[in-house]
Amino acid sequence: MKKLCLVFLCVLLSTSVMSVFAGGANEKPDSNVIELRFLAMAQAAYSEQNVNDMTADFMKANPNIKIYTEFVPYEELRNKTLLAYGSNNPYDAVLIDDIWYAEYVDNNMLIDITEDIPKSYKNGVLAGGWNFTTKNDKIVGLPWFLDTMYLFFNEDMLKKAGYDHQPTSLEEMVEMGRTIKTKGIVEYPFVFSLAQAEALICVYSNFLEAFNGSFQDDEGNYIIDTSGLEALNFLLAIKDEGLLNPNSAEYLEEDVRRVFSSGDAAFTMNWAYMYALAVDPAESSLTKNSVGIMVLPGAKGIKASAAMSGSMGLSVLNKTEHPAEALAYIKYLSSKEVQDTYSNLQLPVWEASYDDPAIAAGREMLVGAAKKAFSIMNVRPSDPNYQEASAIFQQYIQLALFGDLSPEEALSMAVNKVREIQ
Amino acid sequence: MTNPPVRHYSLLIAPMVIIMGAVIGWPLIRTLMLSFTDATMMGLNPISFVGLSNFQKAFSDSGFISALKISLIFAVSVVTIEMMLGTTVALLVNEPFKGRNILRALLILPWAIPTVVNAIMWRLIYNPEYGALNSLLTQMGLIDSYISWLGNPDKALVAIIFADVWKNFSLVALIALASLQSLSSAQMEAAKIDGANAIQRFGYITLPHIIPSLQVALVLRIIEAVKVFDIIYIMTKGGPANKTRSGSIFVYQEAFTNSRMGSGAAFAVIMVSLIVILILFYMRILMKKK
Repeated sequence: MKKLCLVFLCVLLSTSVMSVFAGGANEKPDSNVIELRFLAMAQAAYSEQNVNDMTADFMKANPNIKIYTEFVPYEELRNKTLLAYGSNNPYDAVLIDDIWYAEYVDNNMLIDITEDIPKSYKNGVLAGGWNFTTKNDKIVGLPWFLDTMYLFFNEDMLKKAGYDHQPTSLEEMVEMGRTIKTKGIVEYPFVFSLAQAEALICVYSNFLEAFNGSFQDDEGNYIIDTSGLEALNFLLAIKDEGLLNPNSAEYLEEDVRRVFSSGDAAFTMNWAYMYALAVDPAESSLTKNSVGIMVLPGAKGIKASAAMSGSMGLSVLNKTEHPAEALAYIKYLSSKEVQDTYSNLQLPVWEASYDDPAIAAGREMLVGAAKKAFSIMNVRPSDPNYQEASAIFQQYIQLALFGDLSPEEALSMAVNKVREIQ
Repeated sequence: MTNPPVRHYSLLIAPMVIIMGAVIGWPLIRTLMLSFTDATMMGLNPISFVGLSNFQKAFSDSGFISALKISLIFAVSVVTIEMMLGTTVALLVNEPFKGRNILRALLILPWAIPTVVNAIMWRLIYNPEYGALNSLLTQMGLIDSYISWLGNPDKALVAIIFADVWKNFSLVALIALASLQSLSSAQMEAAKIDGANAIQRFGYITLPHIIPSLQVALVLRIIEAVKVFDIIYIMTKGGPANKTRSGSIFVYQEAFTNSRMGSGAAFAVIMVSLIVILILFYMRILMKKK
């Protein structure tokens, strides 16, 4: 009897295991339907719902193509793309941050679509979009959304301090902050996202651009130990003067948004998404008229404005078995018609859209700033090892901000360390 | 009634052994194999055997050494505090008083909270703008202005240690309390009659009685604390300026951020070896006592 029970248990276990592996064996895929997998980012704009709606419309127009969309947080997007690419089940099309393009191209992961982009398409997209999707003179992606860290300012505080205009230079911005603090309008006029994360590099690189500095020279050698000193000294100066919120070293973008929206800062830097939230009474204590947005002004006598790209593009991966269909899909997602339709939270990449009153309605200041930023914005280093280099810069810039190292020592040590990994 | 033959036990345990081998044994062997190669995350290029160079790199990498130190500082601190606090709390709730049962039930709550939730909760408590800790300390007059606990290189690790202690001391307390339940009251009465004071009773009767249980708690907590990842990753991601980057976070960054699976695996093997050494050390002490 006991033996019978044991045999029964073994048979039960075996059938259970086999049923797992046999699952789906009866499903016969339609051989006429092409299946594609698309990996995107879970975010506010374009939201998952937006992307799924766009995809549904594409599939309706192309009944022979079925798209499976997947969404992951930004922090997981690169790792998931790379891990899947190394597996037997890679994605056909993916969303790529501008700082990852060099690495993907270096590993020959992206399809060259230069010949597939008509001149009218190329000319129609804002120039800043092609800066990061073009590598070695080849187009390897379509700009999907363009963004930069804008300077947000509290107009009410500026007025109280006696200013009726936006800052025209970094020096004037600091002077305004000084007056705001002296008059007791707010304790810390500036708040930036300087936690050990990519956000720190985004803030720093905008100031680097404002001082006309650069991470790399034309040969790709890192030179911020010399060209990046003014930007770091600038951040240190406003910190030492008590103008910068000391909690900045812990803050990411959402933290600075909350501080600014609570009326506890006169200036901050953040992505475009903050504008809609800063003027939303449910999310902010500020009125619409008190929220100002502009491109970061440059240092006096050096340049008028500065912007560093924080954009993303769509690309077709080399391992896809259906490159034409995958390209058709990403072209549809980035088409002007689709982008204009879903432009309520994400501005289009098409130049003509910015002259459309319907797109600008209710956010003229943001649209004006965006149009200016996208025509001048530069990109962060084009380096296959960027992720690692960025982590090193984050560490050493923080060490300088904490006073553990002088700015010269910090940037010099960082550059030496980056050279080691190169 | 006769016991079933031994081979039947083996047959019944076989599925568990097979599953454990598949989900633990194979990944461990694969990690060990990877640690001798230059494998990358995408696996695009042919993998080459590099011998011990990944291990040599590990011991000359100041970042990894620093991360190991942080893991050890964290482990020694949290385990020491948790053992002392847990034992003290167990002794307190073992005494008869009104509401003791409710307190015992509440004691399990911190340990039952998932680490992710605990980390997010403490991030809110430490928030430099509206955090409860700053508010409390300001009202008590202990600080003049709000402090950035997680943004300060000198305070961040201490803040994380405190958050981990709050979550895990209750495990030690519960294990110690379970052991105290089996302590004979007659033995304590006899000691009292013999004139032993409270400290002598604790030193000669209570402590020797609960030590075997505390040793189990100790080894569990050491293993968990040395390989700490989640609470730090959620609270600071290893910052500020890498001052809270533990060994496990370093391994993750090497393998996934830097795309170097080979050296990431070597660092992971070193971490596992460190934990195994600690366990063997503990086992040796235990065997000697037996």
